[in-house]
Amino acid sequence: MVRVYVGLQQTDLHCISAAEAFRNALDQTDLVQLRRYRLLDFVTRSADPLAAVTSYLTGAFDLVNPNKETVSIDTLPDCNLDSDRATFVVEVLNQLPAFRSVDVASLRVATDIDSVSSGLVWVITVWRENRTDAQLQRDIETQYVVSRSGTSGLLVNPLFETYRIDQL
Amino acid sequence: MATPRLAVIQFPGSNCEYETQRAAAFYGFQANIVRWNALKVDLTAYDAYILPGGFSYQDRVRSGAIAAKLPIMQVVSEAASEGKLVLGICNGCQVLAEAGLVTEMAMAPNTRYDKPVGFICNWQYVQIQNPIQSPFTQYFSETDIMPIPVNHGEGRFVFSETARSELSRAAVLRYVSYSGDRSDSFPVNPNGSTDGIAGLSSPSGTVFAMMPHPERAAFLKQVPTSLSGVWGDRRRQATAGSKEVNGPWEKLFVGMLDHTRARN
Repeated sequence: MVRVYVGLQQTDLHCISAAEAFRNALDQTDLVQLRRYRLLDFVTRSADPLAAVTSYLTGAFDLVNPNKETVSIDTLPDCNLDSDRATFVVEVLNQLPAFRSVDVASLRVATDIDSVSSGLVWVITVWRENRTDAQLQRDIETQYVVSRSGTSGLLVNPLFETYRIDQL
Repeated sequence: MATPRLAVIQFPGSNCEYETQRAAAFYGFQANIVRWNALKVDLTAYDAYILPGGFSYQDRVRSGAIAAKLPIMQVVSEAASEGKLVLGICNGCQVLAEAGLVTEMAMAPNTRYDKPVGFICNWQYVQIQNPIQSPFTQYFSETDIMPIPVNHGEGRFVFSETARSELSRAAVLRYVSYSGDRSDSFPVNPNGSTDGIAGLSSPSGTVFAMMPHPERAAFLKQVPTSLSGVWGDRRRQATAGSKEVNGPWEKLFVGMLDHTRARN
């Protein structure tokens, strides 16, 4: 599988609004940075999957618009891992498989790509503030990720989305 | 007796506030459009609240997710706890769901046969189960077949197991055919919503969240002349010269008004 992170070259309005909501409405004073990427996971029958995906992305614009989007293959871009901060990657998927799969047959360029699944990734960087990794993980999950009410969480609605949180 | 005051809350991106205000005012409220950042002292002076349709914050992150976190929703929540009526229409329904003010539910993207279907825009029919459970639906009967337009991309109700088991205590709007037949499949159910639900009340009955637009069926002239059933017939008679004005969803606004008056 080849994982592709698709980000916006310029302003990401989702990030702006989410960050404003965290800082102003939800009083999250520890937020350093919030980034968002579309996630595309390619499965290809090619002997060189990386070359196949790169060739597809440079030759067709069905899934990525090079005029406004950036692409990073297999590597999460721009990760600043200073010791006074902690960075978490939150992968969000819709519970229904049909929402995660891209119709490969509709891709205009003939390819040896078998399947493409899509999702979303949020990258949250917070000040560490003397918290252990376990405390940070709990705080990220309850205060940033899982939305159950108007007073905490935002990024995932657990009633129709699944999520996974990993610390970098 | 003072005229009850109703606030139609305008978020950045709301686009149905004016017709919502107009419908509420026509049926007896002193209805004002109130911005999302109004002072608490001004907000609490109102007797009832409507969160109208639209695309608050451009549906960023998820529909209604950003608006649900705003300080104004704490005011709305407190008002609902005091027994004041809160109605959420379409995007307002999504905001109420994200804020957790109805029950444990979410508004997920529309589906048709479990596949994404995108944005829908059509007239549907609904019936109300347990209408006496909520002031919003108190004047409807369970046999009423009510036409109403829908206009949304994320209108599929999903519930936690606990919330779903408690639905019998709520007033519930369900999609039906023009003849009142229930079906959980398209075309009767336009968006894959659980149990064909189009709206429901909180357990207390004072908060009501619905995806279809009652303000777009508040006046008879809004009903298409091509519609089947009683309301289509009335509309066709109106074009022939009858003076009838009030539309199918008069009862919702009057129910709100009467409850608010009695409470005051």
